[in-house]
Amino acid sequence: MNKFLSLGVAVATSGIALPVYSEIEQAVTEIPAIVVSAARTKQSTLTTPASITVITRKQIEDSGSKHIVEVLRGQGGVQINDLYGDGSRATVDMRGFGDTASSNTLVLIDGRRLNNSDIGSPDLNSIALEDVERIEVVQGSAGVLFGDQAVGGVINIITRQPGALRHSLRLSAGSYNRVSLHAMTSQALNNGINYRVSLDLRDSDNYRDHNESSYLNGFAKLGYDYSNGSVFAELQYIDDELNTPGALFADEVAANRKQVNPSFATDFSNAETTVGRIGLVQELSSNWSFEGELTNRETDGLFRISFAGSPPATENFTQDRKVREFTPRFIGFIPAWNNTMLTLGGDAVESDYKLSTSFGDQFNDQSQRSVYLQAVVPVKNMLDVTAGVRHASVDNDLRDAGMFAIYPNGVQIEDDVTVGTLGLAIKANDSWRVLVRADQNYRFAKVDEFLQPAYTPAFTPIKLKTQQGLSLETGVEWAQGSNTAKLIIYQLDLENEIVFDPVNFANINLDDTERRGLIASGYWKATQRLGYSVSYTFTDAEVTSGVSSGKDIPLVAEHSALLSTDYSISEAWQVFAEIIAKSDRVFAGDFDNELASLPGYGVVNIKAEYNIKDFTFSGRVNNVLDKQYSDIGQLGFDPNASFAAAEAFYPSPEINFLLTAAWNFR
Amino acid sequence: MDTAAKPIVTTTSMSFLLHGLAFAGLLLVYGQTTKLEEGVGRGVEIQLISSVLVSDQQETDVPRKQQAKTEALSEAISDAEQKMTAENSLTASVSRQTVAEPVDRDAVGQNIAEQKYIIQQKQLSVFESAADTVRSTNASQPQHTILELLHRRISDNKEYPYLARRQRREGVATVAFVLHPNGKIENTQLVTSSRAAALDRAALSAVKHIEPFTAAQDYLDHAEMFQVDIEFDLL
Repeated sequence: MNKFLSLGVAVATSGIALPVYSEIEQAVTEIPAIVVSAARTKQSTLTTPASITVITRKQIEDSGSKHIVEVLRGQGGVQINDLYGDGSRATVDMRGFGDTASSNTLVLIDGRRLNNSDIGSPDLNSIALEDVERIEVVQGSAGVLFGDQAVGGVINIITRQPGALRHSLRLSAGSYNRVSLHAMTSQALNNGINYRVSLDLRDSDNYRDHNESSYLNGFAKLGYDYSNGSVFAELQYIDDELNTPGALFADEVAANRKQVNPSFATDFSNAETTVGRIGLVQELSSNWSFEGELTNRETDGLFRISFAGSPPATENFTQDRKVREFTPRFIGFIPAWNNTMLTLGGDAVESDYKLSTSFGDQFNDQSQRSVYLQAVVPVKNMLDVTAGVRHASVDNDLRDAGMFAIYPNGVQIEDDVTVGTLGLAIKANDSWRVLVRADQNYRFAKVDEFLQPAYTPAFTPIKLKTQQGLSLETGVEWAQGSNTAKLIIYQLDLENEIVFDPVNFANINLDDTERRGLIASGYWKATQRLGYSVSYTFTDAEVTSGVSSGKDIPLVAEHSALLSTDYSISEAWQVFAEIIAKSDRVFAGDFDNELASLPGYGVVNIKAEYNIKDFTFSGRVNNVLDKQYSDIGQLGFDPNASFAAAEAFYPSPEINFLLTAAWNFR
Repeated sequence: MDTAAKPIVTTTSMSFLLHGLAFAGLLLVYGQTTKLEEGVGRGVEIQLISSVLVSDQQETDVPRKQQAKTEALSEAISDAEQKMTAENSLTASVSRQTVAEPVDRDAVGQNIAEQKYIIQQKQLSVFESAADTVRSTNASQPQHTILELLHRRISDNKEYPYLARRQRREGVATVAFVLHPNGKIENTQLVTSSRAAALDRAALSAVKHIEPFTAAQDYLDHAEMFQVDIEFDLL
């Protein structure tokens, strides 16, 4: 305190010689310190004019969630499809894609793409929730800024930055013999060196029979901040093992919804992943800086998959992928153009994919290159105009072997696409923001999608076209203190949407498809201690031309909603409750909408937390009302009904709990 | 390049609706522009209170050289002080109380600060009307005011650079500068770096941008050096 007005602080004590002015005393008068703060947790640094919902560290902690999927579930505009109810094979669906959600919603961790060049879903568990500082949900396409697969939206996960020395340790145990441990230590030293090391271990039998999972995730990051920039290197190793019980037909669900069909009794899906990454941020001038990352990700998958009605498979298959990414960009301001911000970047993604099954081997390499330029022009004090363009090209090198091979001699398939964006963001005042934008998007066919031939005529290769679309949307956002509200309406039109058609067992380009929707969400801090969060999403997704014209896109809920409340009973005690509801859906793969619909559901989850000193104890109960529902259902062919198309279910867990003890030292 | 997705670009009735709504929104908000303040001056008030209180306690710490100067001016000041209202005695009593019972500082801080501010303003006007000779940095009350004014003006110019925010850089930069009675700022320099060049620049720029600090003529009779800690903090 006494530094604020200590007259006569000798210049010498500051360690730097200041020039002596003969007419003044060599005294320095201290002005009270000035704090320049920026709300790291509330503002996104993404430069898209899209509406971005930021889920803060505090909100994550309040919810008592233990993985990212739990946090995202029910968020406005986000539909989670959770195969086994443990988040291990869950996909995030924005804007209503159902089965192909994982190819149309882009997931980023600190800017690194988790999406694959094959149809494997991004691993949402690959970042432990304790290591997350905030999650940004970008509503709608971001084709110019992020390119391939940023069609329905982007989930941008930002990890915590090392600061003062911090250690944390969490132990959890609960239903289905679930145990987990998370340990982390991080620090930013005064000399600019910073590090974060974390270990995440999970083990569970899960709700279903033959659904045991074991997950290990080790992460280490070393960084160095210097005056004009920073560098970092990170290393991650993930060992993910899961037994997969598959789907059940209605009669099997009625008999025992936890059971595994004997055909699938030895199926599993394991993967070992290593990720190495280096990055650089370098200030080039007072207005320009360079950012770039080089990532290498290798996944070795081992799995076994059987067919309903057949004896369990006995052979293991392998699925290996190597992805190398280089993502450089220049970001800068042009003072002469009213401080227009430019982002000029390029992405290069090289993927090698190898699949080995009893049908034969596939060797698929894909190379994607793109360049993009985006400008955010402050036209008026309150109006930003964003315009941008991206050109992307893809080069697929495909070859398969075996008796069903369609490209035994290999084939090269190339394509390229240009997309643009134009958006307006009007910041009327501190509270109100209005957004309008048009964003074109694309998704290249994935390497393994090319290799699913048509069966009539037999084994004809299908040359899939690149899926392209235009997203039009407008939104109004309001924020005052902790209270927020937003309303978004959009229309997303696609042509050549790529889907898997299980009836004809082939990947196809759909004719035109259209999605219209509305997303409304808000947070109201009723009192210092009591807060409410609400969101409602309306999604109308349908095929608008061709033979399936007028049919609904499978697995997309027309209505979904979330209502949650957090209440601090005292300094130490905090409780949380949420209701998540989803309406009926068409079964996955049922493009003809001929099966009955998958029933909607509503579940209630509650949590209580007790804090004392550096310790936190919490208990969370999921599905308190013990509802029996299935989050996912798909069209299957019932071997007991002469392989007629039938509803197959992935039953979700009934009531279950998790107790957690955590220690945070800082 | 078969890119532009022709059928999609076809404007639909929905997009008319969207744009119509947006345009309406635009018209609605266009009028009521409110200037936004960058960043939040967290804890500014508290620090000001502290500075006022602490200064009272520390008057005895004023270096001898300045003390001498203060004494030389004391005659003129005492002339002015005689013209002050009885409220001024409150300042003294509050100050004494604060010194005697520092523990109670926070409890009474707010009120004291408010009262003192009012008193300072009154003193100021009294000083000004009394005599030009009162102009001196080293008369403690006016110095509070110039420090407040400098604090406020620098705060008005503070900005968290986008690139630093994006790169999550934090730190404290200490900037020193010489202020002339004519309002000129000279010799702005970095005393301690924040370890991030972008933050150092923003700190220097926040100080440089207060020029011309015309209020200086009311408080300074010669150039004086000031120093300020500017803390960049991502909440």
